[in-house]
Amino acid sequence: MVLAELTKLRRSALWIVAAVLPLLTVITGTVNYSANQGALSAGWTSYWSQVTIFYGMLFMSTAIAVLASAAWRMEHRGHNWNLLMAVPARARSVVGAKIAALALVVAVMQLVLLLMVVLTGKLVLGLDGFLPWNGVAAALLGIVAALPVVALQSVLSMLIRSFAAPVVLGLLGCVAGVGILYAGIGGAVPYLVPQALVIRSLSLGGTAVSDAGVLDLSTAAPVAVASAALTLLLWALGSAVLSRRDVR
Amino acid sequence: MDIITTRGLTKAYGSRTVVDSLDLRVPQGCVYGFLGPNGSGKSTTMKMLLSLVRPTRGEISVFGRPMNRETRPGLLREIGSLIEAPPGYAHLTGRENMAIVQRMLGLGDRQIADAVAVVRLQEHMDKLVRAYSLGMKQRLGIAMALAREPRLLVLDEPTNGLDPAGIEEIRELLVSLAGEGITVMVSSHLLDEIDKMASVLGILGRGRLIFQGTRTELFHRSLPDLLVDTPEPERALALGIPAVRADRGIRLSGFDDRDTARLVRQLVEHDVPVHGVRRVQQSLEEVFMDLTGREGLL
Repeated sequence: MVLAELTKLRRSALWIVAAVLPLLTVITGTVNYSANQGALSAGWTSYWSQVTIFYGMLFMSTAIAVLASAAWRMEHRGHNWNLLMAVPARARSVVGAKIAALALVVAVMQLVLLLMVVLTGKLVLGLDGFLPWNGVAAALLGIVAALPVVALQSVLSMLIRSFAAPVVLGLLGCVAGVGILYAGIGGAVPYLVPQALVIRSLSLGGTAVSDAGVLDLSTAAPVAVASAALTLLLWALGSAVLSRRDVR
Repeated sequence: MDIITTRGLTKAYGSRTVVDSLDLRVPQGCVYGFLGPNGSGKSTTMKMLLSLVRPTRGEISVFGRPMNRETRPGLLREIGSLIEAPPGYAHLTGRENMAIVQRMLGLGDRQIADAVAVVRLQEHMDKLVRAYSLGMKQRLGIAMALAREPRLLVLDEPTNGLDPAGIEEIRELLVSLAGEGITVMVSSHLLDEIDKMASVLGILGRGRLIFQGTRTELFHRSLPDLLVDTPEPERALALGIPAVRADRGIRLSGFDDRDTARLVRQLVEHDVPVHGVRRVQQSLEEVFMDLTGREGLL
């Protein structure tokens, strides 16, 4: 089922989103870094933090929402639901395959971002040395933390025919995530809102958020565990709804 | 053996019942023509048979096994379907669309190649589906349904939008598939298209099954008008017989065999010369129209 989903992504505009969004992020981060050289301490950590602050708060989750809407639009258009639901597969395979395919696109998007950051840091900003390991680690943790957003947006886009409505709901999630971060709400709450997980994972070890905390096993593990649990929960929820729903 | 049987199959959306207490019986190896006006519940019924839509009430059995959430993956492996309109991913080529089906169903290359060959679409496989004509999309949809080498094909209006040559092609294909032992259930709102290929007919009107059986049985079910040839129709009408003037006599509706005998006796008793009594030859269209209450079908 996952291979079939990946075949559907051929020649799709999804890949443009996965390439253009990191580019926009890097441009914003680079401009921000260059314009605030006085306020920001120089170096990779500072630059990486400027890139990921907006990316984590808004761009990444919004991009995932757009990707999920685009991926499900293929099924809503025409009569592909009839095809999809008449295969001898359980609902969990149908839902899971789409989440897996989208996760792969998100992983590619994240790697493109990492590559662009390194290239821009070296070639445009002329930074010394190399992006520190915790930048790379935060980017990789970001992929894991993005999984619940992928699952949530995929399920929303599966249930809602509209392209824009799930994206708007995703944006509301981002607002909630930023609110949780800045209000300093602690405990389990930041781990229950998918978008807040993305914000947290990408700000770990950075300097843009004052109380972001360092990136080590004690901070990364809760993010990874919460991401896995939320993803499984949303996947199960989506499958349960789909298996009970009529194909209209 | 019946490939599909349903008992009291019903679907209601709120207070609106779209399919009402259907008892379908689709015999093995036949082409089953599922007829009815648009909106009569054909698609909903077919979707219930494929478990795309959950029945409100009633039971479905396919290949002698009940169709439900647990059994559906096993049963769907042997059912090819095309519902409402041909599916397909427009931004992909025909080949890529077939690859999706192949991967979803775990099929071999040969099964895909055979299905494409049957619908004669080999030359167009590298074209984007967006550029396909409606006929080509229909054929691709049928290839998708055939690829799993099904025992049962459920096709919803597969000839919709096709030109007469395309319709003939699909018709020949379905008849030949039935010849190979595949049971084909095919719906249409056009009697003419179904009549030439179906050996068993099911007629749906406003969600209810108003007829199910062979073509011959369908003719028996309806009561054609009676024509009485007489040179003196005015005298016959003066007797108070519920008739209208016809070309060479009078014409009567709804007269069964017993009514006919009584009528002839009455005419003879009153010395009205009877030169002949015969039934009007009805076309299948007229029979169908009578059964479905003339809902403007054809």
